[in-house]
Amino acid sequence: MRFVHIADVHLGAKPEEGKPLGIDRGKEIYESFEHVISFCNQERADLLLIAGDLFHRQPLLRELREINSYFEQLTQTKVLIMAGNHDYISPRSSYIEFPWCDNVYMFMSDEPGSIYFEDIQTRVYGLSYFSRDITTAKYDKLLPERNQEISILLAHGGDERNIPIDKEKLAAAGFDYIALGHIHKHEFLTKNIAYAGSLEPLDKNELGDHGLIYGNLTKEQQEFAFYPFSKRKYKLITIQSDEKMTNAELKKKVMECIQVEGIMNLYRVVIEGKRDEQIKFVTDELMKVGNIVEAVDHTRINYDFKMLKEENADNMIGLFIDRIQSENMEESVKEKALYIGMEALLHARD
Amino acid sequence: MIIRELRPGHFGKFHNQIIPLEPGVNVIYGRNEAGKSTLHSFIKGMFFGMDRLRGKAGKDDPYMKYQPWDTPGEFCGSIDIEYKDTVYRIDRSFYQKKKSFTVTDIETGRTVPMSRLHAGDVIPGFNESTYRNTISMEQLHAKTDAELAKEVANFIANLSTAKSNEVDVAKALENLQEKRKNKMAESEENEIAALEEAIELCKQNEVLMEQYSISLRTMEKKHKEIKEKILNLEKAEQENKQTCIRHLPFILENYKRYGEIKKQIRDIREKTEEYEKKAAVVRGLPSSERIQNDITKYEQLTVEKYELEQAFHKDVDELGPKIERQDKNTRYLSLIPAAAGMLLLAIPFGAIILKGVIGVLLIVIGIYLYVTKVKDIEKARNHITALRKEYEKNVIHIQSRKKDILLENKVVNLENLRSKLNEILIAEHERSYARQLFEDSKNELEALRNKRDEIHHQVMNFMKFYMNDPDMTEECMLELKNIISERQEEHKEEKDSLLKQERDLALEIEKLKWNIEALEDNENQLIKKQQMLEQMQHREQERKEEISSINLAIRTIQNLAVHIHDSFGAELNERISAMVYEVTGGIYGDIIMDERMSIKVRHNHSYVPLDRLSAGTIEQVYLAIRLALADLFFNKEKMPIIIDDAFAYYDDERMSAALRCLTKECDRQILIFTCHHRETELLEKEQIPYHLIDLENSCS
Repeated sequence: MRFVHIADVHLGAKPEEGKPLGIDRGKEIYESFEHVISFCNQERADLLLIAGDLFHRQPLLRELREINSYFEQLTQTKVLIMAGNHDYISPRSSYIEFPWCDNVYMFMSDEPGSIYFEDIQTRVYGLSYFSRDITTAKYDKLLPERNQEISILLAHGGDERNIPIDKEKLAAAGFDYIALGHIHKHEFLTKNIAYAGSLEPLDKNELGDHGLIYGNLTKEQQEFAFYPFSKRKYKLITIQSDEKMTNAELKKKVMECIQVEGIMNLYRVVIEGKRDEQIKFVTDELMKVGNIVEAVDHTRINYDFKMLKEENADNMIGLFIDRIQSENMEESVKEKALYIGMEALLHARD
Repeated sequence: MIIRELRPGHFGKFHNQIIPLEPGVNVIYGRNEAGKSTLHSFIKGMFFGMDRLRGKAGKDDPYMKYQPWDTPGEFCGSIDIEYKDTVYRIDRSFYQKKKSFTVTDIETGRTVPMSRLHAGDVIPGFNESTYRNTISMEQLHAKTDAELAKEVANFIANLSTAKSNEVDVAKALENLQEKRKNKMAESEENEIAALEEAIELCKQNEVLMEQYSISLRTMEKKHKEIKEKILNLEKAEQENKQTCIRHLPFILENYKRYGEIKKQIRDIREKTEEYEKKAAVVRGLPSSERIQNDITKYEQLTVEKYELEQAFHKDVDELGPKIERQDKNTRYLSLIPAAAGMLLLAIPFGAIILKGVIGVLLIVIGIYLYVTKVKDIEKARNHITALRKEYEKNVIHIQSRKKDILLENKVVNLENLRSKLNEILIAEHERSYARQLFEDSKNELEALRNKRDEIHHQVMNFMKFYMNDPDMTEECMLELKNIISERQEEHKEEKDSLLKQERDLALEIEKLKWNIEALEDNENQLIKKQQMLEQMQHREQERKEEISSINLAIRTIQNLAVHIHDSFGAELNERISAMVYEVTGGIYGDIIMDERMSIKVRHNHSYVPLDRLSAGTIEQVYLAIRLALADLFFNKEKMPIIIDDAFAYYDDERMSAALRCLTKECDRQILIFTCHHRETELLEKEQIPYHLIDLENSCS
């Protein structure tokens, strides 16, 4: 039995909306989803497991119709859907009584239930979210029924406000595979318990690969693998600066990095280290170099505090450095105080 | 410390020159561009090195300025200084790529190990900062007296708080406070609060939306029900209309007709009565027939009589002659046959028997005839007589009968009888006419009665639906109408109320739908706002950190300032005060600086604000400060004072005072860089010994 496991597609989300990147991430998410459908057909998967948060928020009727028409294109795959904490089923949800096409099955209860597929001798267990938060650990006591059939749990959760998950209990329950959703970073908790992660990265903090999990299951043998599938990735570029760094050089370095790492991807740029007193890194300009969603300047003016302290041992400047360095406070606060005080004092000297 | 000799190897325009200096006052004279500031920079550079400045300062970068054009690599020099009875040679190469700095004890020839790139190891307290504060006296930029006072005040203030005359603590604090103010102004606290409120609102809206959805569902259901009810009502109404409404006018119409029919029946009855009346009248009268009969009889009688008369006469007239004639005829007549007979007999020929028979017969007949005839005539004559009697009897009879008739009819003559007959005829005619009408109406009556009964039946049936004891009366009809119209009213009211409910519901539903639509974007908004909130809170957190950093810096600086003020400042004050006293020859003494950094000087028994003093005095104070500072920093070791064009704006009087003050410190080396002769003139005038170095002449 072959299956494809995805989660947290968040159709309808529009990451980086409003940024002048010329990229429509919202549309790309839909395209990725379409590709999953093609993939299912191509690999002749028996099941497509969608572990919740298919939509970014409660779906509109027309959105469901769109998706339904995608599902209709599946040649031999059955789709299992559950509502997650983002597209939960409220009284006004369009999920209620929606006429899915025949190969689509949705869990419509907030208590665990199961659906059996005779042709592949597989039973899929699951439930749906009927509110944003579920604080009870609904999966802890769930056990598969029979041993002869392949049992799969389709689940969504993993933090205290969205069904806390106990890895040990799940592993001990005896499911052949547990398809998890909610955490956007893919991860195999155990050999057969996995978060597929979000299909496309949705936020600049979601670095790394995103995609789907493809599995081949029989009672005897199990193979699961993560396939990177997303169109773009978020990557972090850290540029080390020194007092010689200029805006032009910074731009050049960033451009080189982007060329190497892929111009398709989305970048967060962090500039670290020292900079010359007169230089100010213009992060706005920097962001025009490529698909840069954030550019942060963490550099500090290259004050040689040792020298300054020495040269000004007796006066305010030296004393200030000394006093700050010996303060009993968080390093970050001290560092900022040191630099900002130094700037002020040195400016007041000129 | 005394600077003995300057040897700029390759520095600006100096190449391998040697400039010896003496203790005491040295006047280094050169016109503009002669190299005075070069030399001054050389001295500083020798002590502290020359680093290329970057950025903005690059324009005035001394390194670039003084680097020899032709031999940049040979950027170097050396000086000799005497400190605490030891003479040191300082060698330095300024060339960036090959910087070097050595201090050599001339006597022993040994290099003094240096841990840094300036002579601080040899001379304690000697660093760029103290150099600038004490040794290198720059021009006071003040042109006016007021500015002068201010500048001096700043000088002292800076010193008192920062222990460095260049660091304006107040300015630094201001800068930091400004930064802090800006950071605080950037605070998005309000926006965050607003966002949090908005998010709350969004969440409430979500709840609201759900309620709306639920309401909508129930309302739509109810709406459907009501619509069905209305439909049923309308169907019933239609049916009702068909019975009730449609029939009512019909019924009313029928009722009207009923009335009419009744009237017609009444009319007919009247006619009947008429007829009865007439009949009664006629009954009371002899029938016209009878009278007619009587009249007819009478007339008949008259006619009879006449006829009788006529008949009689006729008969008589007729019969008479007739009889006569007959008589005659008879005779003859009878003869005929006899004759014939005889004739016959007489005839010879023929059958005798036959003839005979016939003849005989004829004769017989003839005779017979005659006889009879005569009898007849007799009879006839008798008859006439009888007739006459008869006639007369009849006439009398007739006349009596006529009389009877008249008597019976109580009239006197036929005329009256006739007129009576007329009357009776009229009455009878009337009667018959009435009867005719009556007869005509009889059928009609039948039909009318049937119709009336039919209508009655119909109406009764109809009315039985609505009333208990219906009657064919006006009141009942009215009641019926009222009942029906009441029912209609009720019906209409019910329908109206249902319609209103339906409309209201439909309106409510529309409103709900509209509300829901308006809120459709709510979820999107919620998610967006939550994201924004997160980012804002993150930024706010960073801001807070920065503000606490700034606060730390401010606090530290303030504390240090106070500390410095209290420790060094106090000492400085003492020293300055002493120096001022000395320098001003005892006229001015204590200097105090209040919390607003304004300086006061004691004069006799009162404290005079610094800016009230004359420029000259202020200068003296300034000098006193620098001298005091020098003492303080270098622990009474007399450091040289380098004055680079500092007296440029001084008038003669001030300069004299300054020179006098300076030179009082006879154990201090003074280097005066100038492009004027004023200084030398004044020195001459004041009889102060000095050593002159003319750069133009010593340039080789």
